[in-house]
Amino acid sequence: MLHFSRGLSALLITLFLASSLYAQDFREGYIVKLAGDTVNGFVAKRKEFCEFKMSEKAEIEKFAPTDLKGFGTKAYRHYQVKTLPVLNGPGQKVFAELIVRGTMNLYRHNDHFYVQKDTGVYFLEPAKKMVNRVPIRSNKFIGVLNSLMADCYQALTKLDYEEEEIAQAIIKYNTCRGGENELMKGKIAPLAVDFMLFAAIDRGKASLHRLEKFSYAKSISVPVGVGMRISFPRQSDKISAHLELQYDKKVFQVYDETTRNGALTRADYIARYSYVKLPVGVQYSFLRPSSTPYIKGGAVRHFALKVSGLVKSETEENGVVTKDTEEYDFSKKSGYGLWAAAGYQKQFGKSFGAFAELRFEQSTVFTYNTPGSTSRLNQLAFYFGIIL
Amino acid sequence: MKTRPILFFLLIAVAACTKEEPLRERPYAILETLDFIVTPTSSQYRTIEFRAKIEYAPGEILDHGFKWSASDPKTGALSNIISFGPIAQGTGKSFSHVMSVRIPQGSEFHHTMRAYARTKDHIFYGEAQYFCCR
Repeated sequence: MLHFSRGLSALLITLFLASSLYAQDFREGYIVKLAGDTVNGFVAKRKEFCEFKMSEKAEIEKFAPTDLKGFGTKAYRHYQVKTLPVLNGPGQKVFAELIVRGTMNLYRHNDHFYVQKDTGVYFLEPAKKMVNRVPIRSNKFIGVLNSLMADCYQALTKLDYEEEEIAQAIIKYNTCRGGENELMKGKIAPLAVDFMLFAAIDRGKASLHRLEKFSYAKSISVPVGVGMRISFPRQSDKISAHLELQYDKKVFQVYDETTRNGALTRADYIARYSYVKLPVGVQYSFLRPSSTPYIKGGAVRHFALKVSGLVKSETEENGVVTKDTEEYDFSKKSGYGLWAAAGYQKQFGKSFGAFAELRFEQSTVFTYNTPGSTSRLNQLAFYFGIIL
Repeated sequence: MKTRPILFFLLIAVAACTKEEPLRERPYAILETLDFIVTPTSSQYRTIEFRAKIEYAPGEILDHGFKWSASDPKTGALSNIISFGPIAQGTGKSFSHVMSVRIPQGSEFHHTMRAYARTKDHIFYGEAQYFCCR
């Protein structure tokens, strides 16, 4: 049974709360005020509102579609205030995402598409609609597009109700018509994977139940490893998932002296433990990925490669010293644990970064080979590495 | 450009290693008795090499060598001595002795041995090595 320290639990709760901040991820961007002036800062889209702050630490201002002309994030998403037609009612002002800008504009709002040509805004009805709870295929939106593009007719027949397909058709039309024609949605990869190479200076303290002499044996080692960081830049550049593979070899050593019947025994208890471990976790970055402090944490699985224990003792009595060596039988058991870390990362150029962090881990490891034996390994380590 | 940080990192990783702590200083010499090396020379004779290493010597060693007996360690005392005499700076030095033994056909044969080192106030016996054959 693991007894996780309060500090570790608090850190993990912090990480959980940090991950719940996902929805509040502000991105570098701008707002366009009603007077037409653009203000740079950080923006976040909240359903039918836009939240804006001038700097990372500034107060958040909330804007409705009636307060702005538009807003956007740097080189990725742009929203304009549009009065969109709705079925069975008057149109209402919303923040509509501008996908293509040109002779014909394409907008997206609530997974529906709208096109604007000259002064008219037209709703493209979804290809699938439910009639009496039965999905019915509708090509009405293709008819609307063909009619609007009659002056540069493409004879669209097969077109999915997908952003990329509709955008391509409109870009083709705009090209034919000449003039402005731009795909506004930036090309940010949906998934980004970074690789890491790292080493650490690790101070481990093991306690083995039913083998008290080994309790609180210390070991300093240098684990090395590789890691993978997975993030979803379109959704957030503050949250990322981590998977690591580490190799470490530890030597735990305890010195002990006991006196019995006038004989003094000096003993060195030595346990050797080599293992591979797989930490998985989540990172929350406080600032931009280019240079940011962060916290991260998660779970770890240890795979024991080799475990051995040895006692070298010297018993001294009346000036005669006799040395003996005894081997201990350890159970080569793979363990589990939790870890939490805080650190700082910095990007140097586009393809190279570095990080340094302090990490605490608590896990179960090898045990003395008797039934009911338990163990605990606390590790405090300074990690440093490169991000590729 | 990208290879430089990788090479630097690998250098750190390779240079670092885990070391066992050295044994604490003692007021007496510490020896490690190494395993026997047994080599058959004929159907009835074998050479047995005794080996030991001085791990630590607090000062001058007045005498060192092996104590041995052709018996099971549980039953017999180590009554035979092979002495190499004094040694001034012993730490890290190894010593050995080779002897030829006749093993009668079909008989069980035991050999037990400890290395020893005598300093001014102590005599130290390394761990016992035991060898058995038929």
